[in-house]
Amino acid sequence: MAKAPTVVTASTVIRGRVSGDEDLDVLGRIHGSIELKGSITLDAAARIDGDVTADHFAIHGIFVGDAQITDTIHLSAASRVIGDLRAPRIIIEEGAQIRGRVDMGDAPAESISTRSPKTAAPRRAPAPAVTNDAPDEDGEPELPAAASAKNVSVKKRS
Amino acid sequence: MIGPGTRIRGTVTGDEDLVVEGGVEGAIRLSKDLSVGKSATLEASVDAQNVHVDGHIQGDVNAHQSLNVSKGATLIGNVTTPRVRLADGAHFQGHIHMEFDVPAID
Amino acid sequence: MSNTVIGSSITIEGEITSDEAIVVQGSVKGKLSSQQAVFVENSAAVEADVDAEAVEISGVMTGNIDAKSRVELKAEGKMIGDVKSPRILIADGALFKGSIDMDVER
Repeated sequence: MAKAPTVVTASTVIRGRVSGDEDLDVLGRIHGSIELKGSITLDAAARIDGDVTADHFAIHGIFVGDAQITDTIHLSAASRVIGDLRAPRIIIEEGAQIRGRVDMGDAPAESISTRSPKTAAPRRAPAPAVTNDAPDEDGEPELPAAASAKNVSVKKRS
Repeated sequence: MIGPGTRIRGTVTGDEDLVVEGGVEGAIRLSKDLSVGKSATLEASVDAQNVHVDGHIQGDVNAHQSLNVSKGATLIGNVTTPRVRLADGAHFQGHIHMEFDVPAID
Repeated sequence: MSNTVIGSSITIEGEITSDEAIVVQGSVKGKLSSQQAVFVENSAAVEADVDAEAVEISGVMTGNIDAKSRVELKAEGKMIGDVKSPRILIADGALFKGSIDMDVER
């Protein structure tokens, strides 16, 4: 059975450093750094000003500071964040307000590097005819004859 | 719409919604919405109203109304927008700038 | 009634103020202020001055107490510091070192 989390109630203000190995529910205010091996839940009416290190950080209220999280940062619709967020998984719900860096680390392997818009070399075996078919499985469609243009204008057809 | 087999190098401007499923290297400037399809790869700066990303963007994005990054999508670049959504499974690396204030602390 | 509970593996260095009761099971170094009671439980180690309605100690406390109504040092409790409170109860087995001032003119 999970241990009951540490609770900082709505009228509580903590000024200083908080550290520990258990989950933390913040319904009040913390002004200082938090270093936790566990999950932090910041209530919609609550506020943390300070840097946070933890495994999970669910932000529903105001967070001003940098967060370095080993698992997930979740910003709900009511959240307001000023600072940098670093975690392998970050979810931002519509309505959240953020101003700062959002860093999930380098892009996963099968992404930008294998999909540069510049490359045109097809990787399939020589085909009888070059047709502009649907892209093959590795996602590298063949470059049709004249696709490079200096300026392409998309205008309404009237 | 820019189909999956199409590559564009340069600037794309327009007054209508645009769906990109191919590649764009350069800049996209629209007075309306941009949809970046799953197979799309953009190495471009983007300036549009609502931007919906299912594919991959490397570049700065200015979405005047909203930005939505889906699961499996990638956005590497700086973003300015009033509304953002980053789905579980989306990949983002960059700065997000939204205009808002938080109360001063005592 | 909800209490602030500081869990046993939590360490706080700084000041805690609250309108509600504070239950300390972990470690607090600094200052504790409550409009209600402060409980220093068995597992707690408090190195702080405490200002509260009432204080109950079952753990270890080093610091001064200013209580509005009462202070209770339980059998397992250990305290070093000065106490200012109109009422005090020190259980048999408790350890106390400090001064007691019950002459509170409020």
